[in-house]
Amino acid sequence: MGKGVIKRALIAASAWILVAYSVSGGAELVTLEKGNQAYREGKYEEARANYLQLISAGATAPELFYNLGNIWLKDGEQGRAILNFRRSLVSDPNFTPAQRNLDSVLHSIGNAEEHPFYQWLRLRSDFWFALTAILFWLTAIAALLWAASQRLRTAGKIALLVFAPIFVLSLAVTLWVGEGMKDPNLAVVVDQSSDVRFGPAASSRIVVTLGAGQELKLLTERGDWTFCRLDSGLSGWIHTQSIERIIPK
Amino acid sequence: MKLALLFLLCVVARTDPGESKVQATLSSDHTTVAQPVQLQVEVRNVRMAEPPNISADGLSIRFASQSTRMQTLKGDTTFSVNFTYVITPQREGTFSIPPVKLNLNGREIQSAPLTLTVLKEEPNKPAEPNKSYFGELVVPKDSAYVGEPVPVELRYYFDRRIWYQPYPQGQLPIIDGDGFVTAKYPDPAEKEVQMNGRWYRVLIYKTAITGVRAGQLDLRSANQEFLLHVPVLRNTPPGFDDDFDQSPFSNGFSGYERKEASIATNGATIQIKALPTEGRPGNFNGAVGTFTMTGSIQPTHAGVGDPLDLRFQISGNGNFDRVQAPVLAATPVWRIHQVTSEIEEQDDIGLIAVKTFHYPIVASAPVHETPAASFSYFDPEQEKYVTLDLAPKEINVEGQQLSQPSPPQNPNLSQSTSPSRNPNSGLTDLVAKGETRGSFEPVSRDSGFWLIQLIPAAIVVGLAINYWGKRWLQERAPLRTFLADRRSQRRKLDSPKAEVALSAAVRLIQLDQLVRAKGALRHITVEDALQQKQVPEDLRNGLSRVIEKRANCVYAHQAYTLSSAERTEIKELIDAWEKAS
Repeated sequence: MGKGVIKRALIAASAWILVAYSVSGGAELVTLEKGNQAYREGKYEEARANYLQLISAGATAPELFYNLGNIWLKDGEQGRAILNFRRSLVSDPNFTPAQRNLDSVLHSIGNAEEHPFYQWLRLRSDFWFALTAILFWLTAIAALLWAASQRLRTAGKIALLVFAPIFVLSLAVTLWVGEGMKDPNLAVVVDQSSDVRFGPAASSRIVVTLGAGQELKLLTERGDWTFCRLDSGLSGWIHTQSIERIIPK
Repeated sequence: MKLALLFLLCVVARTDPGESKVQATLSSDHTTVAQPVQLQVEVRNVRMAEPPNISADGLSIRFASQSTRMQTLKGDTTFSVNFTYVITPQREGTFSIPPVKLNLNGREIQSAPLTLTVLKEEPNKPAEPNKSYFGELVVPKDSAYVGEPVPVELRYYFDRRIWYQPYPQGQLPIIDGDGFVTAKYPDPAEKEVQMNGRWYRVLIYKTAITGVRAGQLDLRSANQEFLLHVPVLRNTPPGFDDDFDQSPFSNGFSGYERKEASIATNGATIQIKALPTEGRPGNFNGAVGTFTMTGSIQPTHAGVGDPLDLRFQISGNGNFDRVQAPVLAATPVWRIHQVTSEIEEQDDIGLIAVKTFHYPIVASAPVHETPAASFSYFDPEQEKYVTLDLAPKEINVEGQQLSQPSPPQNPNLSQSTSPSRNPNSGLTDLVAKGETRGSFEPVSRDSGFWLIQLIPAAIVVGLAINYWGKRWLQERAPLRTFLADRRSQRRKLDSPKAEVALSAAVRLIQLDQLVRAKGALRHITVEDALQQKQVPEDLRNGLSRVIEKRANCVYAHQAYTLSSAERTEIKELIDAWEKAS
């Protein structure tokens, strides 16, 4: 009797997990498909509403942000288009259509990537982190073999000579890029242009005027203003409504 | 020395004084309000110490300096006194400076009257050009269209003797205003100019500003921070230079003062006009300027399926960042792949350039001409849209038609699941397929990633245990043997056979030393063990007696029995032996 009860409980639990998974995943796909259908029919507002609903539910599919970026672009909102193309690339750095459209929009507004190689590295921060971890263990095992094993001492030494420099290089890249584009404090300008000011007030002097899609790092917030730093090293206050974080909260 | 003075007096005494004359000259006969000019009054062959009094309505005339000169030419000696005045106009207008009159023993001599024209201050000029340093914003036009780049110059003037550098080094000027974007700044140029009789070094930043929305664009000023080394000047009259004032070797200053200065230029206003919607071509992408387009194809003879390089060059003056690839006429024969472009800038700020677009194209059937191309832009001079149409180029592509000709390019949205190209915009359009992959969570914050790290960690720990654990066990093997032996010998102390109990006691004396050596010592004689350890003498004697009894028992074959008291004593001796440090 005891075995029968356990068996039935396991079957019931498995069925519940299966149903719950298919309901949640299925619902997402249906809504995305609905958005895509609306897009095909030219109902961009409806498509956008569907996509935004998915995003607020926590969806992170690169295609979702890519399609949303295209809709913003059709509305002439280049800043929001750039934001969504970037989000798409953060979600999947190898999603080439998003990269192509991002390059094209940035190029069209004269705001091409200044350091494309660094951007390439930053998009793949997870890869560098994982690679560093793998190389760390390989280096540790090689060092162990070299120090401890009599039979595999030579092999361990050769492996150590191979892995250790690559590990150091990979570690350097990892430290350099940090969390890369997945840094929750990275944001882009979504307005056509926005002023960075010396103080958190509209009457304050302007440090620099930023164009749509320009990237900045958020440091602190005060009221409607956010203190931010640019790649150039300049820092100042920008109106919070004119920017949006790359990683949605 | 006395002879020289006598000679000079003789020369002066016999000098014919010549004709007395007074002459007045202005350094400039026109100026602006508050802009000083210099008045020189030269009095020849008249000895006078006091400067003549000069005044004029509307002008502030101030005596500045005096110098004398004596010249002897072919025996004629001329003596002259120069009086220098600074004239600062207080209002605009035409002013008459009265003649300078001198009375020489009843005879009056006078200079000619002078006229000074004073203009209003020029609006685009900096407010105080007479300063040692100042800034100037030069905007060549007062209206432009949205997207039209307007070249501007930011000039920073410094007195020639001031040492300066942008601070912090590499800092670029900030143009105060909004509603525009600024082009890149090339390295600033430097030159020397003379302004109002004063020499300046000018640092010139060139850039272009582009209005992003229609309306009045107010450029309030352009600020730049500088680190200056300013000479500490003697008190010279403002507005003019004497020979010393501009000389780096003069003693007109007594040192340098280091200071930081934020120099702001004057402001400017540009009226930004919206691009007209009327007549806007469908393929207009925001290019504003004046452009020309040429095209070429390489090679001109090829086979079906061969890749060809169709190239278009757009050159001219305008916002090249908005110059997009020309639109090709849809032809079913040609397969057009991703366009690439390169730009060759021909001026400092990238307004004059040549942009080349490369279209890799492949013919899927025999064909004799390339696709036609068109490019549209807005010409701000003519104030209208212009479309450049390039006729197809001749080409000879021969061979068999490919089995699956490519579909004609469709600028509408694709219904397929793969990305489609929109040739009008150069953008890829909708990807309909939705997959739920991807994540915004960095792998460093993923608990699964850290759990996976347990696997290699376990491997490393396992390897370490395998090696160092084995080694540790090997090293402890003799010790473990001695400890086991000691436990065994302990039990034998209770043996009824005296020989066995005594042998166990002797072995325990040895084992104590072996165990203390932790395996480093494999063997020791009982005598050595007894000698090496510091113990009380009575204990040593007691143990020696045990050893002797055992020797008699084992080697002399003496029958021997141990009483209960003797056994207890032997155990106590062994315990004491083991406890002794």
